[in-house]
Amino acid sequence: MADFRKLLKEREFVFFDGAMGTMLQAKGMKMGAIPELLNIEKPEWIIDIHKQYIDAGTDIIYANTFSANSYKLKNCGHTVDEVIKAGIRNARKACEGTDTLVALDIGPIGQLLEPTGTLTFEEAYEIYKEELIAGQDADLVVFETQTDLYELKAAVLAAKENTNLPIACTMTFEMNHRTFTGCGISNMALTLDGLGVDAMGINCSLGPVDLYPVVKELAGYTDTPIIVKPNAGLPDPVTNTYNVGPKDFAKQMAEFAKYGVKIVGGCCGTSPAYIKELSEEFKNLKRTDIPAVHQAAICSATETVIINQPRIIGERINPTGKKKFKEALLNNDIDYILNQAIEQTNAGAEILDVNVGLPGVDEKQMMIKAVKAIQSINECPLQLDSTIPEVMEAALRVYNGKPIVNSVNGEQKSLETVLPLVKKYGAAVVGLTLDENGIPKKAEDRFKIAKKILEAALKIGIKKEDVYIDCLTLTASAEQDGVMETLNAVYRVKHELGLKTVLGVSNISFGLPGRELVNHTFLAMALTNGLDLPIINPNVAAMSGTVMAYRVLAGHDKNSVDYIQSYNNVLQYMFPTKAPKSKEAQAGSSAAGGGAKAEDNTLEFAIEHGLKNDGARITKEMLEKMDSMEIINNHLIPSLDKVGAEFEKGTLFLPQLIMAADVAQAAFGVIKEEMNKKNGQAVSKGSIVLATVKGDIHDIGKNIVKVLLENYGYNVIDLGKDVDYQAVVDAVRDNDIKLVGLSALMTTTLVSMEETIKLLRENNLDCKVMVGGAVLTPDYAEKIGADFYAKDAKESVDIAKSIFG
Amino acid sequence: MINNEIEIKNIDKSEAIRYMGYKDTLPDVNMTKIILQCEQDLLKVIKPRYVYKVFDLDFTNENVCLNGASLELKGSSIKEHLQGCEKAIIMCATLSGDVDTLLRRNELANMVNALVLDALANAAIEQVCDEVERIILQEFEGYHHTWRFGVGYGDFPLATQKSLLETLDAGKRIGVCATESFILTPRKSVTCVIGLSKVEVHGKKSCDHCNLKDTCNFRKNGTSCKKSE
Repeated sequence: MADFRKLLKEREFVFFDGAMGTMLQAKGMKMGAIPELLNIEKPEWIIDIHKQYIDAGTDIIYANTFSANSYKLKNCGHTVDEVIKAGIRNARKACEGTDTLVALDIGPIGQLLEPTGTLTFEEAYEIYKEELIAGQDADLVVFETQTDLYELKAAVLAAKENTNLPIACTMTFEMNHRTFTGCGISNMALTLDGLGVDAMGINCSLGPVDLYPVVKELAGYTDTPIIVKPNAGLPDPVTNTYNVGPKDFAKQMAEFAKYGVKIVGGCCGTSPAYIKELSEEFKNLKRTDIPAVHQAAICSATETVIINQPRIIGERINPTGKKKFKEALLNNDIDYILNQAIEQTNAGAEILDVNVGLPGVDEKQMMIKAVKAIQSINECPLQLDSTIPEVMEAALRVYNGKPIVNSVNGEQKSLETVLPLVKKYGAAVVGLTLDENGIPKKAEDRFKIAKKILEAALKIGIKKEDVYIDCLTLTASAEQDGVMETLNAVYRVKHELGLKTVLGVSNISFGLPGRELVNHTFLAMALTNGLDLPIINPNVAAMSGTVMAYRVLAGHDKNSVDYIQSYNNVLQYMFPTKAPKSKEAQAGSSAAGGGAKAEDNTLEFAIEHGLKNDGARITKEMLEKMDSMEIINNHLIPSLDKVGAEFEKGTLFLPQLIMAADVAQAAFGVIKEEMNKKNGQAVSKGSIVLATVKGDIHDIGKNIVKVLLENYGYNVIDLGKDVDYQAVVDAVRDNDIKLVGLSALMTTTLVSMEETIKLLRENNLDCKVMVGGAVLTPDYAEKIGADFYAKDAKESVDIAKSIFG
Repeated sequence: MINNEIEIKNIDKSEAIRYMGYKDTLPDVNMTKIILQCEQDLLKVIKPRYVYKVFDLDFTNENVCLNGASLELKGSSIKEHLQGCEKAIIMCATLSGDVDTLLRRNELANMVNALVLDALANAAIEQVCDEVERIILQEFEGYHHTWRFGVGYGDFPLATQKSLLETLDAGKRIGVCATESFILTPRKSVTCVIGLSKVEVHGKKSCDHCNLKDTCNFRKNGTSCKKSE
């Protein structure tokens, strides 16, 4: 039997088919109908189209299964299994008596994944799994027209874990070389090559000419056979016809031979006539082999970091030695972690280390949650950090892109458990130069372990450029001689093994005064010795500044462009004393200008005018003179009330209300810190659960309510959006909650609100429920069993006051 | 028309300010600074895209049917809206997904900016729709047109989203899908129906069919969401 992999090896070019939808519409299929149902209703149409493509010279036909998934086929009267099996059957029938192969064709599910949509990664996996099992009798699977790298990853994993089918993937790129979800060429190439697919490339969206630069870029990133299946030019919106004919299409396609493309075919607007011209045109062409540039690189779905110069790894997402971080983990406070991510990237971090291990915390669940949440707001790639293989695998699964695994070491057991995960999920890996005997004292012995790790990685198919070595920083105060041993090891690993190097820098200064000075001096030394990936606290200006300055001095930052820009943006922000004049320009600082009057220097004034920095400063000063509860009850809350009253009167508007709340939050922050220091109890007037109900993702209203409630001193347990009924019940029970706030924006999701309330009541939980949202009315709120209707955020505070006093 | 993209160079800030709830007063200096900065941030990430198709209408059945498409327009509101029209434009427009990320980030780190960005994005998607409508109508000189009737408005069922998006192939063409509860994703996206007629059609938007008419903040303030002209 013919075999896709063999075909790729033996043939100069391989021919895929052209459009199915265009052909079906020509046969009379209505727009918006489900084309796959024709597998059962009109098999003769499908077989006829397949045969036309086979006659035109196609090596592989796509079965008519593109959108045969459980979401699209819902309520159509047929199962996924029936529709796909019928599709494969028709294709096989058309191929009888030929060598033509049949591909199981799978398109996007048709619903967006989180965070933009509501479909989870795990749900997407299950949907694809069902399609793949139904179609496993095909000769290969093609995932095409994909725009979301995350969805494609779910699909590829589902194929690998449930079938033995060879895998081809094509994504759809726009003129800006990105997909609709922002995925770039390098992100696709690095991620798919990591996962291991048989062919990858591009289909749909543009005509051949517009795809030249896209394919050229792709060829530089991968040695995997490249597929190009463009549209027949651009469509006319009124007539829906495409503007490039078969002969021109074939001529334009011929150019791709020079870019190393192996597999060609057509997408929307193409027909058997196109494929016939195409196979004729390519008969006498020779393929130019374009070798990929093998370089160390990792990526998220939208950003690629090439390690061709020192890159900063932010170390702050790690609970070790951080009281607040530990508290956040214990309280399931993901927002705290997210703010750590934002702060570090603003300060210049290019990769973020993520470690959430803490006794008393389910590390696996927390890791999944943290990785998903961080990648929903943050673009830079992650370094997944855990010592537990099960946690590492969970993180690798849900990560969107190609991450770094932190870490493996020279112990046999570690090599055997960690490296297979790195290989399976296509990550890069940090190898620590220690083994069963601990950390060797001498550079020579650390070098040996590095070599051992590299060999073990190569043996199971991990590429050399994906192995980074950490020669381990020891504390200078305790092991002074060790410092130079570490640096020598870095130098040798970098120059003799040709590997990228990693070092956690901050350890060097434990026990010494002026730690920052020691840290950045050591960092500069390490960089000179070949350190590529310093793991540092980027929020310390001297640390990120050292890396930026090093890039100038080592000639990476041509004409100091980045340095100058960073200095303006980052360093100036961090060295405010150096630029006292610019402080006023910062939003949130006193806008009163030069002649600030004494009465303006009050917490009341700061809150009413949205002056965040002043609010925090004044609170600090007040704490020296009065008790924190006095500040809260006599100054903070009354000012917020005043702003709230003006909001109700309509003389002040929502953004100003929130600005005032922000100032209050800053003031609360200062007070909380003070109380923590005194080891007093937390400032909380009561805990409130908030959730945007199941099915709804409009959560800005809920988030506004949250900000206000928090700034009135309530502790908010925010369950997020699209929240299961049971999750609300569990949160109320587990935290002994007296007040729940539910929001919904759509008429369709009010039902979920009603169901949530019903379940709360059924469980006999002693809590009040307040509801809000654009389509709600007081009557409806009462009808669905809510205790309170909040017409706006301000009213939710009034309700909370009535409950907690 | 290349690849369904259009560009908007600045956002209608007076509309955005109205969405924020401002009525007769203007934002102060501090707030104005924030609004201008947010406008720049937003313009950097929006990628307005649209897709549309035009169909001949068939009123012979209970629901309004579109010739050549499986989509049926259910409910009396849409039927009334399209009364007297020969054709209908079905369209979908979006600011694309990066706006969602920007909003998420700001809701976390800076709620004031998030609010301002949200209002600006709402103004921007309306602007995009205006522009798309203008482009499409150029093709239909000599026709009168109705206002843009949104899915979910009146008794035009929200469930129409799924089949409407299928008809436009919106997922593939501009990356817009609907969730199980028919919310459009990316979030700043719009679907609507515009009627076309050779004769004059009733065309002014009113609050009568709006599901929000009882709780609407604009109405409470004595105005409406309709752009002031």
